[in-house]
This record gives sequence, C-alpha cells and structure tokens, in this order.
Amino acid sequence: MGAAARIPLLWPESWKGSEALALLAGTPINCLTTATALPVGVEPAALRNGIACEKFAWKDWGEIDWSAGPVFAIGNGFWPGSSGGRNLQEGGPTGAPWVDANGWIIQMARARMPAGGEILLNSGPPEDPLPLTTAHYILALSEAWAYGARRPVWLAPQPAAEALAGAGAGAAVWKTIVDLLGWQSARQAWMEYTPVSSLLVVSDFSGPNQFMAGEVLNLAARQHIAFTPVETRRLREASLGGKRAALYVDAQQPPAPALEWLRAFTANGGLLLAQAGTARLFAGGGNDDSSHPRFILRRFGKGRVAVSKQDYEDPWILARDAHLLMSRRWDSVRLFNAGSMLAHHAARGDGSSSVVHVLNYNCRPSANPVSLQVPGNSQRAVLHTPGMDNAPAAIVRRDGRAEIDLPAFPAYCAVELHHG
Amino acid sequence: MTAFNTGHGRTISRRGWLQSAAALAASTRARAAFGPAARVSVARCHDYGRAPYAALRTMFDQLGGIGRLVKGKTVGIKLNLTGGPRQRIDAVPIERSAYTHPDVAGAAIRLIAEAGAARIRVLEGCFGCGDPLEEFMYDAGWDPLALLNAGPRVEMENTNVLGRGKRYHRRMIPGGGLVFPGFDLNHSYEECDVMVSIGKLKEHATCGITLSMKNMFGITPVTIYGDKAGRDEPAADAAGGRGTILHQGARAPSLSAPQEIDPASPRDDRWRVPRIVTDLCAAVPIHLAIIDGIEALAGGEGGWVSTARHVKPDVLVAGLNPVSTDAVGAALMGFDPMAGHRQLPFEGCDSTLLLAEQQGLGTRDLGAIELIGTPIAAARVDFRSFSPGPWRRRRPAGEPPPR
Repeated sequence: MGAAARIPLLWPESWKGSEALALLAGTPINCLTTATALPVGVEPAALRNGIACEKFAWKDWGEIDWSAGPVFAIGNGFWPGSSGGRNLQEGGPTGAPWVDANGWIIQMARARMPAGGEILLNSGPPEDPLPLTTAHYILALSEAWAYGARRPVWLAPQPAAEALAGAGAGAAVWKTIVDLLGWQSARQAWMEYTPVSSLLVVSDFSGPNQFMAGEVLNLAARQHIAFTPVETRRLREASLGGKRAALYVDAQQPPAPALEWLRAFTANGGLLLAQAGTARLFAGGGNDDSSHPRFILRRFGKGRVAVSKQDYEDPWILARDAHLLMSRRWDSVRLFNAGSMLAHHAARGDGSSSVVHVLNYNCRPSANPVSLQVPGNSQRAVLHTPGMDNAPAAIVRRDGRAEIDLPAFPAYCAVELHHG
Repeated sequence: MTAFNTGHGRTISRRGWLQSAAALAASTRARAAFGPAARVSVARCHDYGRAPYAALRTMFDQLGGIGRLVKGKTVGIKLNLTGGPRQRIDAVPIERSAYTHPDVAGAAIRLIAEAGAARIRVLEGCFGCGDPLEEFMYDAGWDPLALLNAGPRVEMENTNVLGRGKRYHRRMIPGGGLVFPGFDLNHSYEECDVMVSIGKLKEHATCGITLSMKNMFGITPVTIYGDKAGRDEPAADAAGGRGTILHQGARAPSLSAPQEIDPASPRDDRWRVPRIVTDLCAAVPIHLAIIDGIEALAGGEGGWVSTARHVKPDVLVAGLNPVSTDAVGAALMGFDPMAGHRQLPFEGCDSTLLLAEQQGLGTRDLGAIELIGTPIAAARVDFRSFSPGPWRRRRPAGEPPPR
C-alpha cells in the first residue's frame, strides 16, 4: 500500500459479522482496524474484497520512532472541536473559545517522517456529551486529510448501529462520510501539497525541546500564524523560497549543517530568532537594538538576529513575537470573521496552484460571512465544498492581495487558487 | 519639589502645573488664531480611492487652509480603529464600517504634508494590544506603507503603550476636569503641536454617537487605563479593553496616574464616558476634526453591537473645532445636536456635545456654526431608518425580567 493511501475504518463494536462489509462495497475505505479483534470471519472476507486488516501501534507523537515507518500512527490527537464559549475556563489567552485542533501535530509529523511515510491520526472519542452531528464527522475526517494525514473513520455506537440497519440518522451520517471520502479521493493530490508560510519553526521536537516546540506550533496555529515546521537535522533540505523568518526553538546550539544553513539564511536577509547560546554564534556588526521587551535585535549580513533576553518561557508569546518580528506583512492567509475557524494554505510543488482549507471547529454555519485573503495575484478561485458542485469564487483585489468571500458552511470547505 | 493643590483634593507638581498652564495658553492661542472655530465644511464623497483627497483638499481650502495650522509643526493624527481588525459586519471590510478608512487617512496625511508639516505621526491605541500600529493594520488587511509613504516624514505609533517613549507624559485639564483632572499618555500626545482627529460617522452604544471627540477615548493607554493595567505603575504590556476603569469605574487607573476627582461619582458608564471624553478633549485639544462618513455604521460602533448596520452616507465633514464638527456630523445622521442628556440620540446616556459645550470647548448650535459646502439637508441620512439604534432599555433594580 503506497504513501497516504490507507483509508481506514475503526470497526464498530456493534458490527458483529462480515455482512457489515457490504456497507464498504464501492467506498474508498480500504483498511480495517480495531482496538481489540475483528469478529470471526470479517478479516478473510475483507481480504477477499481487497480490504486490508491492520492493527496499528498507536503512540503519543513524542514516543514515535520517526526513522521507522512507513506508517506513523499518532494516537494522542484531539477530537476536533470548539469549546463554543460554554466555559470561559476553556478560553485561550485571548478569551476566545478554545479550539481543539490537530493540524499542528500532523504538520510536525510530516516534518519528521521519512519520504514516502504515511500518517494516521487518532484520538479518543469526543468528551462532549452532546450528540454528534454529521458536521462533527466531516470536520474530524477533513481536518486530518487537509493537513496530509488520515483519521480512521469512527462512528459513535448509535449511528454505527443505525448505519448497519440502513435506517435513521446514522444511515445518513454513513452516506455522508462515504461521499466525503470519495470527494477527498478525487482530490488526493492536495494531500501532497506543502504549507505556504513565511515562518520556519526549527527544532528537534524531542527530549527537553518537545514541549516548547510542540506548544509553539499548537499556539501559533491558534493565533492564525502560518508556519512550516522543520526538523533541525533536515534543515539543509528545507527550501528558502518565500521564507522570511526562522524560529530556532531549542536551547542547544544547532549542529554544524543546520548552523551553516541558518547563517546563510540570515546573512541573505532572513530573520533568526534564537536563545542566547545559539545567537552568540551570530556575531554581527552595528549596535544592538534593545527596545523590544523580550528580544535584542542585531544585524547579521543582510538579515537580523533576534536574541531572546531570557530563555523562552511562554510558547504563546514566543509564537506571537516571532510573527510580529517577522511582520504580518508576510501572512500567507488571513481569515476575517473567523470565529472558531482555522485555515491551512498549501501549494502544489510547482507553485501554479494552491488550496486554502477552511475548517469550522464550531460545526455549524457561521452567523457572519467569512472572507479569506491571500497574497499575490491569483487569477482564478474555485470553491470546493463536499456534497456540492465546484463553484467559481469571485476575487476582490485589495492592497495587492486577493480576497474571497465564503458562503456559510458547517464544517469544511476549500478554495483552490490558480496563480498561472 | 513644589506641589500645588488642584482644588480637587489632589496635588500636582510644579512641573505639572507649568505644563497645565502651558496647555491652557496653547489652547487659548489656538482659539484666538482660529476665532470661534465654528466653521465646518461638508462634502459629498461617493467612494474611497482618490476621491477623498480631492474632497478634503477643497474642504481644507473652505476652512481657510491648513497651512497656518500645520506648517513646520509635528502633527498627530488619531485614527479610529475600534474593534478587532479581523471582525467584519457582514462581508464588508472593517474600514468601510467601523474604522477610519485608510484612503481618508492617506488623503489627510498627504494634504497635511503638502501644507508643510514637519512631521506626521499616525496614532491609535490599537484594540486591546500593544502591537505596532503598522502590524495592526496588516492584520486588518491594509498596507500601512500606503500611509507611511503619503508624506515625507510619517511615523506610526500604538499609543496603548510607551512605544518609542521612555515614559508616559501627563496632560492636565485646564480649569479641572469632570471625572479626571488629567491623564498620563503616550509621549506622542505631548510631542505633537497639532492634533487631528479622524473619526467615523457612527452611533455608539455608550455615548450615543462617536465622531471626532469620542475618537479621543482611544488615546488612553490600556497599560494605565485598561482592564489589566498595573496597580501602582503602568503595566509593561497592553491587554484588554477600557471597561473596568474608564467605563465602569470599578477600579482606579494605575496609581502613578492622576486619579478620579470624585470616586463617589456615578459608576454608570453612560454618565462617565461622555464626561471622560470631554475631559480628554480638554486635555488634548483637537485642532482639526475630520469625520469619515463615506461609509459608516448605524446602530452601534462595531460588530459586537447587535443593532449595528453598514450604511453609506457618502459624506465627509471637517472643521477646526471638534464640538462644532461633531454637531454637524450628528445633524447629518438625522439627529438634533442640541438634544439634552437622555434625549435622542443620547436616549440612554448624557450628551458629550452638551458637556463639551458647557466646558467651553466649542458650540454645538448649528445656528452659530458657519457651514460651508454641501447643506446638511442635502446630505442628511436618517441613521435610525437603518437601525433601531444601540439602546437596550436597562431594567430598573427590582423589575422582573420581561416575559
């Protein structure tokens, strides 16, 4: 089975026999998995129908051996959603409803896995006692797919039973899921697209650096800051194209090849944020600028080094500082009236087109129209919404950027941009 | 250090007293230079882009030219950027509803630069944050370079924080204030010789209307007057709004700043805010008031007010006196600027226009204002035909909730 090819189903406990396989006929689902064991007769029947049966070793992302593979099964994801403001204690530092999102985990995993790897992401069932709507399932599956991974299809017990019976709301949910998977398969190439961002987040993402580096990604995403994570040892392979700043998270000095890359990046006009131990390797000319409350800025070649006055402490503030020191001028996507939505902008390798995935963690259509803004002169925009025909989207030019108004949607839509 | 009693139970330093005296003298000079300053220009302007430049140029000429006001001076331009930069009403960009539009700001900057200003500083206390103003604009989807390049020496500063200053500067109110005797502010308000307020034509859920005077509410640094202000000294970072201290009076500003004259005064924000606005306009006099009413908001000042509706009055207003300019602005919205406290459009609050007039800041009497350009009747838009207005009746204590 090739890269990113598994479309797994977490076999429901209420499906007791191989007759349930009839539900999978003609669907993109090509892999069965279970926490315990498949019922007798299911596995041979599945294999006869070309459906693999696999048991994955789900692990916390911090415990995965990223040199192995080819499948990396992350088990400590979140069931995606929003606190919806019901409990202020769940609010983030902005007081905004907290969003449980997994995009940052998948982006980090993609940065760490070898070429050709495949990422599966799973989580426990949702804690929210409210009944799940179809939108919740769409969001969970779309989120993983949008960032280049797969989440096993999971159904709550009642809809699973109803789906098997072909009746009730569960049957409708099942049909929507199957249609969504087919819709995604028709756009499989998007999974290979790479993030469009101006900010590199560089770390080994392990050991003493695991918490800070992970939280920087998590909280940068929450602040709508686009980033590209890069594992330090792979920095030499990373593209400089379009990058304006590199946040080097780790307290330790980078190994020689990475240091060489960072020096070249900074000397050629980039901004490097680093702690003192690393920054001292970047002795530059001119006077230091100490006016920033947390960083000293110094010139290095054509670029700048921002030296943290103290060890990094707060990942929320660190992500925000990196963004502001780089400048929001280089934002690769902005959402207006976003509420509990997040956007992920990813581009095709040749840069001729890109896709902005928009995920609505509230799982109900926004009361206010949402607009997105991207840099550059996109020639054409197409709105992709599961269950609906593609539709051209009007582009409004504003200060050298392209702006597109989105229709209301409950969980997910995408805007494909053609830049040719 | 010699201290003086202000008559409000507070003392100020000799240096502070001298600054107050100088401010009073400057204010008096300004009034003397521009007479009663009751000339206000109104112009129809149907769109943004290049149109505001041509319109404002004519309007400034109608006011007698701005060269004598700004030539060789450092000019501060206070914008109105109320609300989060990514919040919109419907799909309308925020500069077409709640914010001063950058094309109006850019036109004003260019004209002020062409009139010989030595330096122009664009100012705003950006909504709940200490981010550089340029970055706040990027977040709104603007390109601040268009403003920075509109004149030869244009700078920007978020006045919620110290910015490029080393300390906050005290501006006392000549003759004493209504709520505060003075304010500690970002250095820019001290350094600017001329103050320009570019407000937006909007109703307001606390003050009835927000035009050039209410715009000045945002000059107060949230490090001192914000919800997370420091207790003794200004906070290092900006966060939160101005609800706790200025609106509700639930706590004092940082103790390093001038304190309230009468802590026993009403804690009702609809009593307090109009008076604090009046105090601010007395502490930092506005020399040129501009109101962006090309597109605007009826029913509230921002998207968080449920009655707020985008409107397109197609009008610009400018004057050398903010009270008179705002009075004309109110009339253009379909309101009577002579309305008293708790009268339309001040149904739920006191009238800032009345308070400012009583404090000697200018006249709100349309009969005493020399109106130039488009007559009010030809440009008036009845805001209440678009929205029922921002007021939600407050239930008196003990009254049961409506069924």
